[in-house]
Amino acid sequence: MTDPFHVFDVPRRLALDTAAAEAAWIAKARDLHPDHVACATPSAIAEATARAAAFNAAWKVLRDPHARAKAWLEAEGIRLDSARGGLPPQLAMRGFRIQEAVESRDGGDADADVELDALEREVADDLAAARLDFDALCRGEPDAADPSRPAFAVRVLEWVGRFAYLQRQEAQLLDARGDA
Amino acid sequence: MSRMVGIDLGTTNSLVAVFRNGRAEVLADPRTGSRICPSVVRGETDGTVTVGEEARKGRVARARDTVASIKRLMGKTVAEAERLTTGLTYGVVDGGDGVPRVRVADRLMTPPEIAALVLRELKERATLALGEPVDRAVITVPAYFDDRERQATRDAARLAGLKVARLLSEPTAACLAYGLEKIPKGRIAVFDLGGGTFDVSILKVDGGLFEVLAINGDTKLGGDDIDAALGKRLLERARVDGVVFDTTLRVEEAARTAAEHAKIALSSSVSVAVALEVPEAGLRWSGTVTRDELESVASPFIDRTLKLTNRALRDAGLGVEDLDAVALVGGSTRMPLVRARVQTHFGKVPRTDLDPDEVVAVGAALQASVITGENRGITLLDVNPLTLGIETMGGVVAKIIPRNSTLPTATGMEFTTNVDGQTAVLIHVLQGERELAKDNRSLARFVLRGIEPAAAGIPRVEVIFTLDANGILNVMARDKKTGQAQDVDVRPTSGLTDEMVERMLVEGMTSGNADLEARLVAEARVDAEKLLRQSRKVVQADPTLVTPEESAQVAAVLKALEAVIAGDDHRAIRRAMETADHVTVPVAQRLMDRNIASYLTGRDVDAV
Repeated sequence: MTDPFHVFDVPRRLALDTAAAEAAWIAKARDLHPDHVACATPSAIAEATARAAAFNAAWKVLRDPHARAKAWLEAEGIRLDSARGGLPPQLAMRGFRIQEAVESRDGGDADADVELDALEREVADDLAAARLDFDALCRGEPDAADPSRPAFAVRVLEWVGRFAYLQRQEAQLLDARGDA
Repeated sequence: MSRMVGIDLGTTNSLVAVFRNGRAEVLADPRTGSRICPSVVRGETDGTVTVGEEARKGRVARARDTVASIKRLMGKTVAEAERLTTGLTYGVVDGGDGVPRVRVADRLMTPPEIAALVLRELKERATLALGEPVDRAVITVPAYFDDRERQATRDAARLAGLKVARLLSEPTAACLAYGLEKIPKGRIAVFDLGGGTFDVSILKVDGGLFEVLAINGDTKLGGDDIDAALGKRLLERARVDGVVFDTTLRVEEAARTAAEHAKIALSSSVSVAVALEVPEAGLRWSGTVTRDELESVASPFIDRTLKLTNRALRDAGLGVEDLDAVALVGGSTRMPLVRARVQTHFGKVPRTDLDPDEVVAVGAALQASVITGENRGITLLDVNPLTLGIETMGGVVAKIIPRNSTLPTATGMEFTTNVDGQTAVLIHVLQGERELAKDNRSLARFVLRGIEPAAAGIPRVEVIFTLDANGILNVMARDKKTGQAQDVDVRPTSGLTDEMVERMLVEGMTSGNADLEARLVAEARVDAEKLLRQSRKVVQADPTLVTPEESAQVAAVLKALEAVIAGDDHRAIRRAMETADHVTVPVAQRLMDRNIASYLTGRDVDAV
């Protein structure tokens, strides 16, 4: 994956002026759109497609805080799988509860729906809290040369892992409701 | 340059439109004055085919020879097609190559071939109406069509002698029409319920920019389902009334047709008289159907559309209150129940100012004008409907391009080997949202060949997956160490191969096309040149694997191939390619490791 910060020519920071980045993306997307060459040779179409695709893919990453944080870590040279095992126990516990609730619901237990509702609310609350945590991280990002930078990166890594896990739980619950 | 048209290839009806004199208009058939062409095909005893209104009119009397709703089978496997045709009057046959066949007259045809008959009819209509040749088109597809279904549509166009300038999502096309004429700015939901498919799209429109934020849908949900359910209800009522009859194909078709007519009539009145009469099956029944009865039958289908609508809104990060307008598209949105439910759901009166039957074709013609440059200042940014992933260890899917990514888009992944000396890696591409490969749609499997033998984990091959502006997947591979690009032959899991399309072009009902020969030659040349390149690469890759005799043999067949490429006999080129294949394939296979277990080194970023 090419560095999306580089593609957009913006500083590598967690915080992003989303409106400005979006305006830049729209201008580029208009300019590079393969519609302009849809009648050209296959190689010209392929070339235009590749250029537009790189820009669109970078925007897809930058516009989403979680994807942006992952790209930030990657650009910092930090392996995303190095956080493995560092999951808060209550999140892992809830994973089990979701599994149990889905199984008992599939087994015909009417009360399981109440538990699924409760789990859904818990996950939604945690996601909302995690979004606020991200805003706090954005505000507290030290400069590249700052000695506290590595410790900060570890906190970003922890946040990325937690958020991914919460999203997975949200998806599991939606899936369980036949709503994925 | 010839004219480019916009085509709405619908489940029930198809239309063709063109942009001229500064506006898009649907073309009427100059022979009949009709703007709509029913997507119905009938095989005749003399081997000819009737397409359109005449075929539709004879649906009940000639149920066994008539094929309708073929769009539902586009890109489907035999097993999927079998499930889907349970409510239809025709069955499918296993073609032995994974592609279902449907009987039309005395021949078995694939779904793209049948769709091509409809496209050919539209092409002819446009040529007559415009008085000039038409060979390029923007063709609309349901937003929720996956790669296989899009490929099948493109194959159908090719079989009809049309070059596809763009495959365009139907709701996006509709939005283009609305955005230009009625709603120039704001967030718009397009609710598109057609004969066989449902799509919902959330778009942002601003100053000629059309950005699709999210789409959702179901390619197996439409007015057809309501007709089938109501038809079943009518037969039940006849039985309850004591009528004894055999449930023959004609009975089912008569009930379905009566249900369809009743449904349409109930859009403007609250009750309608229905008569079912198939004397040879013992069926003679009449009764009254009320709008309430229709609505109780239709309600579960509408529930599902609203559920899918909520998912699209969630993906767009919006609530219903954030929307500025809701536009209705597709014939099935004429039902008062659909309109009422949509109005309640969104809390606003849905827009119906553009003809729901024509708005998609009009949008397709507008997109054609953007591509030809006649209409400047419009940019359409569409998205992919389904997440693209690849199968990893344990049958789990690693997501590589999430759904609702702006097109075109691309992502790179690095692959390596997990056995010493392994020279090939098998990659399985899937589309869908589920975690396990087996629950998603299999798009393609392909083998990364020609990896330099090395210790496990050392080779690094970068594979770039690109979804183009049509939403179709292209794959490229490059050895990271040598920078050498590799040809990747992506074989669709179910669908026509290029060779099959060519054969159909030669054999099919498509002859009489003047430029056909030239095109076949050009295509054969391209394929032959690719084979030449690949074969040379194989031989050069590891000379120790080839005996001197083989080496001479390969050189001879490749030289012969080169000679025929210069000529313009496509059959000779194909024959030479086959001969070359016979000689080079055993060598290539030797190069390939027997154990092509795949292993992913790309960091599984979603599992951290």
